[in-house]
Amino acid sequence: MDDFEKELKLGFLEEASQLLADAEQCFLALESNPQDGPMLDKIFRLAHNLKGSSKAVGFEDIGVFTHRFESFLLKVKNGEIPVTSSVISLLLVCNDHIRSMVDTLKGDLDARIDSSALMERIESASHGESAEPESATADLATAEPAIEEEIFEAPTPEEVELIRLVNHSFDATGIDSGVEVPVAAENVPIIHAVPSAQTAPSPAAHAAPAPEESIRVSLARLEKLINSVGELVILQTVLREQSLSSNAHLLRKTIHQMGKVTKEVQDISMSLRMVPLRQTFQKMQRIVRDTSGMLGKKVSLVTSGDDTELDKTVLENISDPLVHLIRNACDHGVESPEIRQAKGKAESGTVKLNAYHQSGKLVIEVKDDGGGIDGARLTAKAIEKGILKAGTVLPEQEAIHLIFHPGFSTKAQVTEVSGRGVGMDVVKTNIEALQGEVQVETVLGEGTTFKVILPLTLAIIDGMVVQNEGCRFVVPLSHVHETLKPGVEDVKHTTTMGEVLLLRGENLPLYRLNTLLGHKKSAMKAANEQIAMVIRYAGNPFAVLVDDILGQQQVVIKEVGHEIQNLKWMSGSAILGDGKPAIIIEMNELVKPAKRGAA
Amino acid sequence: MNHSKNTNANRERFLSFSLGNEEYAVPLLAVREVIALPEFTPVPYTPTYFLGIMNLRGQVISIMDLRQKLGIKPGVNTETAVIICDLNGASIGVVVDSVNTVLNPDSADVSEKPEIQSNRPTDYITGVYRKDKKLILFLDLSRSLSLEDHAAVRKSAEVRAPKAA
Repeated sequence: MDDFEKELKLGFLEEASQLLADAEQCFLALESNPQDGPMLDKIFRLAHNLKGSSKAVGFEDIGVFTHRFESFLLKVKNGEIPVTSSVISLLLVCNDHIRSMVDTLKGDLDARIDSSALMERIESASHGESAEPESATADLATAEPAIEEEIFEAPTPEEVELIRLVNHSFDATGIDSGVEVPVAAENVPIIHAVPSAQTAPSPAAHAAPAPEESIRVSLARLEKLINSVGELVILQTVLREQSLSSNAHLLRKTIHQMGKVTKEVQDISMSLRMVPLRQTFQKMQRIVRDTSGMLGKKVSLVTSGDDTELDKTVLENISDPLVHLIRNACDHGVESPEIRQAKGKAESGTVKLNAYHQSGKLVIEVKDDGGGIDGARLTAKAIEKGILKAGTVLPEQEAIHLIFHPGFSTKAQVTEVSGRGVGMDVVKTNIEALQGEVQVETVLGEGTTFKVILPLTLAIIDGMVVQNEGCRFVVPLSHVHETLKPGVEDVKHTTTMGEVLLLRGENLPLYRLNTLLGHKKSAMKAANEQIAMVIRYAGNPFAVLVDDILGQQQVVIKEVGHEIQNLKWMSGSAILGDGKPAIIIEMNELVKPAKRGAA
Repeated sequence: MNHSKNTNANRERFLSFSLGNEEYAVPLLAVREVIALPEFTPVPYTPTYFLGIMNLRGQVISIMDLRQKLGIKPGVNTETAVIICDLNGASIGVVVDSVNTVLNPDSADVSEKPEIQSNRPTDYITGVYRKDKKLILFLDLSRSLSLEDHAAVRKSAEVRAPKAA
């Protein structure tokens, strides 16, 4: 296979993933609104594109399968097969199958995939007219029998026109129409891969607003750009400082203007990494559908704020924890229909997924209207499991946090969905790894809200720049609870426990950054000449004395070479205003060996 | 020891530099650029030859003193330079006394390193080149710096426990 062909194929696979994601969304939309004619058209177009381009680049397996799939879709579109829940399920299964084909091919371009079993299913569904639909429809609350007839008795004039036009256009170009499917032309050029208005001469496509034009750029190139822009900003700062000593008016004015432009370029380049949450939220629709179906519950997902933007890296890492929270809400949160009825609630539960910005952070809320979390029950369970001592009484909020304890699961039965006792602690760890936090609010009998609070980006943090022995260090601002100048009587020295800071009735262990960084004790200053930073972040609080605090600023995190990446107390580095790098200190890690030594 | 490697290396070009009174060389392909000694930030709990981290046009890279690493006395009156090398895709700065010239050695003049009974590891020397009356040693940088440094960094991180307490 030559490079060109390979590139074509890889390009196709990339694009196919996108088409499949779009298609899945359409299927789900179709389920909630089966008479949505334009939606059917869109699905059909997507399938058609996929078929055309897969054949064009030489993926026969996908081509054959999508051909069959397309024929089936056409029958659905023409009303020969009613849109029922089971049909939607079959469509989703097909979608998953194509996705798995695409994923397999991504790993090995020559892989062959057998789809005969699924093709038979499609075949029987398209011939056996109502392929076990009645029983399956029963669980779909919204499917009134009238709907099925409605769509097909009254195809919109637009639809008719579309089919006529499409057929006509293929006939006119002399391309042989498919045998069973009039629209299924075999030799679709690869240009058809773009699902946009220009390729399909259909009224439906014209009706949709033209999508904003976009191009794909590799993340590596983007990061290069962001790096260079960061450097530009530093150079600009240096230049401005230099110009202050100059009398040339024009020079100073130009540098001032350049500063504005630089700032704008920086803002734009940073925003390039930001992507909307939409796709992640769309995936959740499917998760809720599958999970609730498996559990025999009725749950609907309501999303809002899906155009909220988030750094791509954060987004990639938030998907799994979010899936877990959603599943959890369906499984542990929302009660079974019987219980809900007994309690006088609507039979169908609701999970709300909401995202919004709040004070420079991103908040994602997962809210269910289920039974809430019973703190007393959790405590009892924890005692039974030996996590807590018998007779322990915890305050409500602390008891609720037991769900984040490793190996804790209150569901008596282990289900396929959740309840293996791994999960909530992993969710918490994953989110904390992203510099985020999870909050739980629960009202017994009314529901639970999980709030995931995340930084907008991982590439930039708010840092406190501190000075020690002439060296500057950055401490993440989120780790610093407060800073203070301790009085002489606030610091007590003990031989056995080291120094202790008395802070409003709390006794905090007090470390000196000097000592922590391995400097000699002789160089130590009196504690009251230094500044204490109180660190309260994942773990026991403590205080660290530093020489001075130089200020707070946003810093871009730079990775350090692998030679020193195993220094755990150093989470990275940042280039400060004068162009010199500074170490970002992870205080929790830095004090660890000291603790071990003191014990 | 590894004869085949030497014959391959002979076709390569090398950048030679001074460490004290001695002359060493690294494959030219591994060299990204040569810069003057920049300002750098020291990193605690690293060996003394690990000078710290520096800013190379927006990228933070480590900088090491090859003289201290190999236990060579720095020369006096030298134009200290930093060779930015590419080690398995990552950049690293190496401080040397001065950068000399690019060599294109004839394979006949390059020989294996002599077997010397020594308790110093010498496996990072890949060959010996005699030019006129000078002796130039070819270095494998990733062996002379990277691998051992992991151990060294780890070790110094371990010994700090009693120190800090």
